[in-house]
Amino acid sequence: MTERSPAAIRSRKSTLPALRQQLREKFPKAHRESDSPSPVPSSPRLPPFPAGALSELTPVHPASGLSLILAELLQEERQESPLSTTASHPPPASRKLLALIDGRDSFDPASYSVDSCSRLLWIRCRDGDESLRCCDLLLHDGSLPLLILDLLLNPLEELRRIPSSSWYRLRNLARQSGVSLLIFTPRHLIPCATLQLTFNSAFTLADLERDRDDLKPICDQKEAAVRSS
Amino acid sequence: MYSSLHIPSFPLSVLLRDSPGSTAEPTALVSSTTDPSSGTSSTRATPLLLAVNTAATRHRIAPGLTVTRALARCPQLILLAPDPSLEHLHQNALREYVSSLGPDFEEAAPGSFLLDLLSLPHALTSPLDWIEQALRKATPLHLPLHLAIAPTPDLALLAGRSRALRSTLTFHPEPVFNNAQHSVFSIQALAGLPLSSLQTDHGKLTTDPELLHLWGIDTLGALAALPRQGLAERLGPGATRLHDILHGKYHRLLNLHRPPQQFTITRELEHPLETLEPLLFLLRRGLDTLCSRLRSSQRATISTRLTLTFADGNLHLRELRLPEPTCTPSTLLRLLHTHLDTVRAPAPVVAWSLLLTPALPGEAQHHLFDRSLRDPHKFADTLARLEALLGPGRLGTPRPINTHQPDSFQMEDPLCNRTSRIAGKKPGKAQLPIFDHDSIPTALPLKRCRPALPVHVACEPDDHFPRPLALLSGPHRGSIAALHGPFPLSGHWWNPTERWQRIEWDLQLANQTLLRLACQPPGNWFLEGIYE
Repeated sequence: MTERSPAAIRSRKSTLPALRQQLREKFPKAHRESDSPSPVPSSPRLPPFPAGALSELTPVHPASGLSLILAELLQEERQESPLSTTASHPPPASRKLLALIDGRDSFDPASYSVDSCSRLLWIRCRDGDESLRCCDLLLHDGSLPLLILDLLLNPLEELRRIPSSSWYRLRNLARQSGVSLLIFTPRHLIPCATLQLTFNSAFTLADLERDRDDLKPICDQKEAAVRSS
Repeated sequence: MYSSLHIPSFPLSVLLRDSPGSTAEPTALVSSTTDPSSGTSSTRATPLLLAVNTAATRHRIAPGLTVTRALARCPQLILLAPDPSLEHLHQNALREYVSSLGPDFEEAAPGSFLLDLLSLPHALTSPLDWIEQALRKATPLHLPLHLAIAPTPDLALLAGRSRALRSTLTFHPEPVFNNAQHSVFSIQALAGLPLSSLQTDHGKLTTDPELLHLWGIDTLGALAALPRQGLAERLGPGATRLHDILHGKYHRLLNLHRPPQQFTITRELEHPLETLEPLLFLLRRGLDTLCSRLRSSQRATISTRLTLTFADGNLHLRELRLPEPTCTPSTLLRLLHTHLDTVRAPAPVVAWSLLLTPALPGEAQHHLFDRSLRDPHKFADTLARLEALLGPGRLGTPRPINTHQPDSFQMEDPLCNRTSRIAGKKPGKAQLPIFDHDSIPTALPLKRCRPALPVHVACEPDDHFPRPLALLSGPHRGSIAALHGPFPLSGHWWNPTERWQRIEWDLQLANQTLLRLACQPPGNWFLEGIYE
């Protein structure tokens, strides 16, 4: 039988937190989920999207390039995956899915690369109500760190009929699960959005011929308001 | 102790089984002359005798002779071609027979088995009685059988070749039982066997037989009499292994035959079920049984196939795939419950069946700090709920397919990459080839109108195609400020049912809206989408 003196027990109690602290400092990624959720990195030109909150992205002009944000997010994982063996093509298991809740079934896979499509969970909804129910289920699940709710082509009347309580419910679910929810809307509609961005780019027909990387949607920083809700 | 059960000249014996009269005639098995590449008979290959019966050996005919030589020695020789299907049939029957003798056995070769007698105390205490019982039990097979007992597996196979050590069952045409001359195994009884018997049985004669022949070593007894140390120094470890086999010092493990396990359960109900709860209760019991079977064979399941039979004769079949292999009944039941919530039964359930596909648990090795999904099973359950809400085909990962037809893609299960990797499966043949390059047609992604919106367009005739001037109806109306196109597209022109043709334009309205317009001949205009 081993003898356990009070001093030995005390020293063990003091060593364990120190060991945990060392591991936390040495391997911060391993303890990522136990810490407060970190913001989801977005485009270099945009502020990071807050985790556990709602972010609303709204265009000013008809062709403001909001879909370019989705394209950038779909390519995001390729650039950051420090633990993967190859930076350009990480193995499928390490590539997280990104859920697109398509409020009007308008996503065009041909407009994106095959690699981008491969990490997309596309949820093809028919109307706003169906979109919110899907969003609710995915926020309850909490498996995916980033959800995109695309309501750009939904009629404004339909969106205005959504009660404010529904947005607050989504906000609370996102807060509980630590999921970052991006919502593309034709107008500012969400009262509880932590981050509201307005895009005032106006691309023309000539821009369709250019390289996609040259198109940079401009976010009006003056109108970007971070609300502490 | 081990017992060898051997059918002499198995391919020939199964051919002669149903014609007892031909055993008295000289008969030989001839190698197939079929060219495997073309499937036709080849005239260049020289057919050889693979096996001969006792009557043929009296005419100095032995395996390895050419047919020409054999017929020269015995013109009445009957030549038979092998029948693989018949051999397979009798091999299965033999396997059943051996498994009725004992649970642990090895299929050493077609028609040759090694049985471990450790679990058969009766065979160890009174081997002669056991041998007689085993031979009598083999009578329905109607095949000659050699049976011998020895302390090691390799010696048991050799003992089966020794006339002194083996007990035999033959048919003339009535069954005749002959006991072995030695009731107890003795290694001296093997001394007269040629070296080739060792080579034939095990393929382990790594030593050059020509060299041994030059040394005057032609029998197993002569080889066993050589000093082990000297044999190792001159011929290496392979010769030492042979020496150990002959002295009973090498005791290899049997490659045990295990029948493939079926992880399925089917129940017919005495009383039809009309509600979900009792069905779930029964499914839970079935899952408990199947999962315990999986656990006992160190397996998990990667998919669950549910079959429900309704009172009106209809069937409901559904295969539910799992993101990761599991053998937890509650996880599987949750998946079934979510699915059954969406099923509308036309009549009460009268029977159900569950089939679990086995897979190795935790085959996928993730990165040390990689957390792809917090709870894959919960995520699979969420996906099932989403599919139940939206309907089939409205959830998944899009894969563009290799065609120029607009809006062509296929939806894949978002978990299929991981699942197929675990199960080691390849994509099914029904899948269309995916788009094999990363070209993106336009800089701005398109947002499609599904289905495409019919619109009225004011246009003027041009050289070959009409030129749109303004959109007169639809959600985006106005005069066209700028235009790119026309882009004529067509495909499957060789197939009258699948052919398609259209002309597309990218245009900008006066209010800066960027649209894609399409015209299907003769004059149907559609709004394809909007560039956002």
